[in-house]
Amino acid sequence: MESSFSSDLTSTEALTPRQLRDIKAQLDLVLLSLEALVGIGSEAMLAAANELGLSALAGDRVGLWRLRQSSPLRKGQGRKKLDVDEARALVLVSCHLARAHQNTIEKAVSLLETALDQNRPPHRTALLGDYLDAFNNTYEERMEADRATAEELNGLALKLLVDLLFYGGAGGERRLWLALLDRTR
Amino acid sequence: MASTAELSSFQYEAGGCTLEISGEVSSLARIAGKPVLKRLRFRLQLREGTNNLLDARGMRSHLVSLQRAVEVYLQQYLTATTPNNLSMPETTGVYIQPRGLTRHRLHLADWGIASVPAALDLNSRQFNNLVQVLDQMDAAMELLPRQLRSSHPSVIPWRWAGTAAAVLLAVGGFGLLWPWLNQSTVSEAPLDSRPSPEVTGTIPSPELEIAQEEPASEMSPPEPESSLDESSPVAVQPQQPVSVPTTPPEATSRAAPPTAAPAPASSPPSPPASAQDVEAQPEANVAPPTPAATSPPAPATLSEPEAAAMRRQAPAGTAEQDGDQPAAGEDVSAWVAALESALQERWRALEPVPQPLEYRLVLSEDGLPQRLELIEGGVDPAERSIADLELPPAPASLSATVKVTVYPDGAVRVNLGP
Repeated sequence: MESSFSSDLTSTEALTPRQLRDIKAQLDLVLLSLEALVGIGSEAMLAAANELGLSALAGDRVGLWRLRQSSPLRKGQGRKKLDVDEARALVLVSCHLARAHQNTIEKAVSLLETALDQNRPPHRTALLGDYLDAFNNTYEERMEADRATAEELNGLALKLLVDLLFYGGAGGERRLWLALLDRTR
Repeated sequence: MASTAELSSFQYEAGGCTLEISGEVSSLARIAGKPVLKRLRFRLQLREGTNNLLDARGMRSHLVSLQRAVEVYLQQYLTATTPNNLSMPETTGVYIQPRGLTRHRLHLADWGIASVPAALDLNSRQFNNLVQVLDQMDAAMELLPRQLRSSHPSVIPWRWAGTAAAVLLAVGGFGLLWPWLNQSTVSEAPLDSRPSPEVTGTIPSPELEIAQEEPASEMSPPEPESSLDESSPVAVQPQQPVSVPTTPPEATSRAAPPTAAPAPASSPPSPPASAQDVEAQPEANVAPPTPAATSPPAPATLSEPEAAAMRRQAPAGTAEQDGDQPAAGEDVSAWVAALESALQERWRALEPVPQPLEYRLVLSEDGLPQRLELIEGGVDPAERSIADLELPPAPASLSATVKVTVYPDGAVRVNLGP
């Protein structure tokens, strides 16, 4: 898994600034969805980075904040440039956390399926309602004001939720990385 | 004589999904650092509680096509940023389409496994379980793409049979004439003396397909459960070390890379059931493949009288000086392989069929393929003429009806049935 992800990374080191910018934005949203669903904060992310041997890249709160703040969607137009190694670190951390909380993610996705099958609004299910509220609130708090409607944000949040299910699997890192790249093309 | 193949089995589980794989571990495993499987058989089960959603058994080609479909679909699914972007076109072979945000429909009609439904809807959790077992397998082992070439050909493809037949005729004819040519030493050689095995064994055959054991049919389920149960103990955890069986000397002499064999008719892209995926049935009691000398060649380029004469002169079991009887099954297997190869190459140039079509092969009294009669599957849009093909005559030991199935992607499968 790691070797295949590394080989994917090697072939894509020459990313354009625009691509890196898009990747930053997407990774920030993936972590945002994890935060909103399982309530993890920077401590959990730092612990994951340490477990993965990525302390040099995201070893303290400040460093982690800077990495996430580099998202172009953030208020303040994050000036920190994210390089490929840092993007890789965030991918590894994201998938590691998704894996650690796979049970909760599976439960949430199952509830979502049931709600959709029964034509019920997802937010009426407790776990999903909390998730959507947290996602929307955090998004509005951190991101530059944009014209995304509540419905669009909910759609984004639910799509990210289902994606987390696959990112937490054995090939999650490679899949997330390829998805990040594919979206920038 | 090649040793009996030793089978290894592996099992991967995720939620209600179980993938069992059995096959021979290639000696390449020593280089790869993990099991490299050949002659693979698998069983994939998807369960939801007590409901059995899917129970599929197949060969490597089936597994690879499923794995590819899952990987392509999943990556497209993850790349889509919103649910509105999830619309994926139909394709041939196994493919998957989204059903809303959380459901995924597997289209299996063209998978080539008869026992599976045409389509199967999975929720995201079930689909993820399937993804996980495939990922586990992918990480734990390699699947050998195709049979490696052997330095000891076990089958002479029919295209070279003309040369082989000519040599046999020359040698056999010379042997027959020898008593008359050498009158000073009256030979005791019997009139039915046969050329030595070494003659046939040394005929070069670069387009070599080792048709050791052809699967009887890809439309019908492959081996019964006992084939997996009879194998060595299942390693439940995918990361457990695997005992690599000691390979016979001749296996280590196979130097050709897995993809180097230029088969007469190479596999079409993403076949639902590759006709060139020559794999043995993983039975513990499978007779090892015998050298080419045990199989009388099929004289495809001889005239009918010559071919009939060859068959009369060299019935099964008499070509061996060492007295070993060549297995009738090997004659049939070789003929099936040659037939598949020829038909596939011919039909690659024709308009593809809209759906799998099944034909019955009609043979002449001399065993020569004459024509194909459509059995079922609708109207054949193009004439499947084979009259001009130089096809080898069927072995005398063939007693089953020969059916030919043509798939939309051009793959051809020859089955022997009642």
